[in-house]
Amino acid sequence: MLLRVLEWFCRLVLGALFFFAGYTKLGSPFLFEMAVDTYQLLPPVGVIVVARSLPWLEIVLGMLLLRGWKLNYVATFTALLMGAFLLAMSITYARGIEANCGCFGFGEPISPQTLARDSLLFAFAVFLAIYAWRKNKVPAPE
Amino acid sequence: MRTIVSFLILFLLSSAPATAQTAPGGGNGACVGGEPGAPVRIEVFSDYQCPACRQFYLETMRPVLDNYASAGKVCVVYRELPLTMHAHAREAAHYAHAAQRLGMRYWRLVSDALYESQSQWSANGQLEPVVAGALSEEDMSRLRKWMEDPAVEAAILSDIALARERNVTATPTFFITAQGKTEKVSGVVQYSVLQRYLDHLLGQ
Repeated sequence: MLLRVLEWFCRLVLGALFFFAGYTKLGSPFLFEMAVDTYQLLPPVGVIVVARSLPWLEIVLGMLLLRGWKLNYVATFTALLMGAFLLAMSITYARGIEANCGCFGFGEPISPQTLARDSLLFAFAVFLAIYAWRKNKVPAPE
Repeated sequence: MRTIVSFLILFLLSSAPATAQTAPGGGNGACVGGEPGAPVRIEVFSDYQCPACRQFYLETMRPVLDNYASAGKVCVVYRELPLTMHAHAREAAHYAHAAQRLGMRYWRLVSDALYESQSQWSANGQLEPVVAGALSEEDMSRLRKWMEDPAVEAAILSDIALARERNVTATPTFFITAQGKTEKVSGVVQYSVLQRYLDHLLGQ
């Protein structure tokens, strides 16, 4: 019962946050391009491709999480994406680069707080993926 | 479940589309490039001893000054935010601000020299030869007079206070004001990426 409640909680939190994050970025695409660029990880073309596609991906993932459709696949992809975010943020922070997080809006620099928040969300996504796969597992024939 | 999802979507779609952080515009900084009435204003908080500020000035803001400010499309304001961890940043800010008093052409010469030779004077603390190398002897003696003027120190203190007021905690941080809206960006942005935003703001 507790795991089921936790599954719902993680799914709703992650779904709503992903949807919101994508939505805010779509409203200011050029600002998001600059936020991605401040990470200093990609050439200009890469910055534009990521900045223009990521918000749509977040919105779709958010809706799929909220709907709970094919949760094992969606949650796994969400965990991988959160892991990639976390890795990019950690590398940038470790390099001492002042960058915009670009997570839920603009003007928020990467800091221990943003890293802790994203680590928590990553943990939610990992739990959700593991739980969904376990739930979906077909029992082996005896 | 569907009701919850629909409610969330409706709630988010009905809210304002642009949720970018906005900051108050204004300030009394003079344009180091461009005219005060330009449709776009870029206000940069910078530290002459910070390597990221060097990169941002040389690779991004210099082309902006050449291609947008000289064409009257953008007003660029440079504000001093010498960080305490940089031993010579305050003195460099004094030179740059004193050069501004001579004229924006001189500010550009001094800023170019300071950023280009950053590693040199950061290591030995010898700023005067770097600045003197960029100016004529006559201009250098005029600059020395301005260096003694308390108005230069007061202007730097005013920039630092403004940075605090605007919650600027890192350099470079810049504010882009256009169409009555101000957006804050922290960090180094490549010229081609900033150029896309400027062209969008200028309707090109």
